[in-house]
Amino acid sequence: MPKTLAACAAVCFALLLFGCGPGGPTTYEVTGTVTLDGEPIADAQIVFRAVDGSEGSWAAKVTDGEYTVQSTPGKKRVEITATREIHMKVASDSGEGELNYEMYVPEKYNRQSELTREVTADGDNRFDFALEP
Amino acid sequence: MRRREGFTLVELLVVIAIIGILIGLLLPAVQAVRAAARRMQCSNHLKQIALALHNYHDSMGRFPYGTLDEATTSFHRRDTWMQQIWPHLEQSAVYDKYMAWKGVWIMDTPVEIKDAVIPTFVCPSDPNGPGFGAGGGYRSGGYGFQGNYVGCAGDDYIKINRPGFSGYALHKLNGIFYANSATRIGDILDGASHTLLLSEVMIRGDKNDPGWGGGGGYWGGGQHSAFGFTALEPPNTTVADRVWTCKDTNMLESPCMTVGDDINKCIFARSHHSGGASAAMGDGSVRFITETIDLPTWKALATRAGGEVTSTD
Repeated sequence: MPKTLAACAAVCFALLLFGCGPGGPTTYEVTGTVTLDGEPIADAQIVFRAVDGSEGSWAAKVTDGEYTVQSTPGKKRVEITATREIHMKVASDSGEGELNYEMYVPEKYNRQSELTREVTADGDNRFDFALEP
Repeated sequence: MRRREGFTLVELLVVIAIIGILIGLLLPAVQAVRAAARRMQCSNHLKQIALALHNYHDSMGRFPYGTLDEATTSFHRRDTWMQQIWPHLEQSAVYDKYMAWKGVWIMDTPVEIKDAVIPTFVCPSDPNGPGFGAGGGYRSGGYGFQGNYVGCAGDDYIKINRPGFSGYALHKLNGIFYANSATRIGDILDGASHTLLLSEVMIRGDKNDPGWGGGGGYWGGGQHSAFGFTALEPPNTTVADRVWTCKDTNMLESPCMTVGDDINKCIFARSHHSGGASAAMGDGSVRFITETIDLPTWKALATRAGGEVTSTD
């Protein structure tokens, strides 16, 4: 009798533990490096966008050329964006002219990206990108 | 047998342990109730703003513009829908003062107007609210009030080129709000109850952080898309907002990237509620949109005349 009771208690406890897990889709860790013209990109953003547009994208920061993204599996279009400060004079009198930024990774790696990779449930999901200016 | 007086040490410890466990059980529940109350007030604000927009529509025959394009006006450049619905939120006094001021840029609005906190635009779930800034830093004695609610600009990049830069034009976006928009209920061909009107954003950083154009930066961020959000990604996405200059680029729940250009800007719906963000629809109803919403559905809800068949359930 005490054994059944103990078993019951154990089952109830286990149910409590599993009751409220984090929701949402299963994601896998994707890692790798990003270089531009052979040099690691100091600060950028990498986005894994579903090729068929069926779900939201997964993104992370690229720091010193390395990134780790949690992404759902599937065929992804990879977009890498980075900006840097430049100085430029602008015609606007709103006061914004002093400081400006430019996107220095070519559009073929972000807005018009041609990079595609497949994130899989069982692969090692390590993708390195060597970008050319 | 000798009569016992008082408690033994073990009894006392047991009682304390039981009380401890009970408090441990109770505290998270109390915190959860408080968070739920904040979330309710947050969506109530959304409802009030949606009703104010409808009252505005009743008197003007259209929704206000997302932002007033700076090339088309000689004063109040970059004004947004936020200021325009003040009379419908019982803020007539500050509205009259604001409209009597004829300065060119709204970043230069007198501080007692631009730093006035309009409580309806503050979501109590946001620890950084009421915010200030995102409108070009300190100008005319203040930073400018920054709120949590933004209008729906559609399902693509929030493209607003500025005069003097290449590509300038009045771009008509596919949401209800954009530069110089004058959307009528009749223009919402997808049905007002199936089209997003408003949603929430998170305030990043401190007022002292120089930033221009983050979501809710009503005092100067207008031409940088600060009046709106895009459904290019679902709520609370890991993809960074792309703004002219970020106030803070290290906030994990609300990543931000400074782009400093006019065609790549996007601001996504974000909230501190777990699991999604509240949104108001064109008919004034308020819903909670989960962050796992199907992306094509979310995008279809954002367009006013896309012709998609959608269901938010």
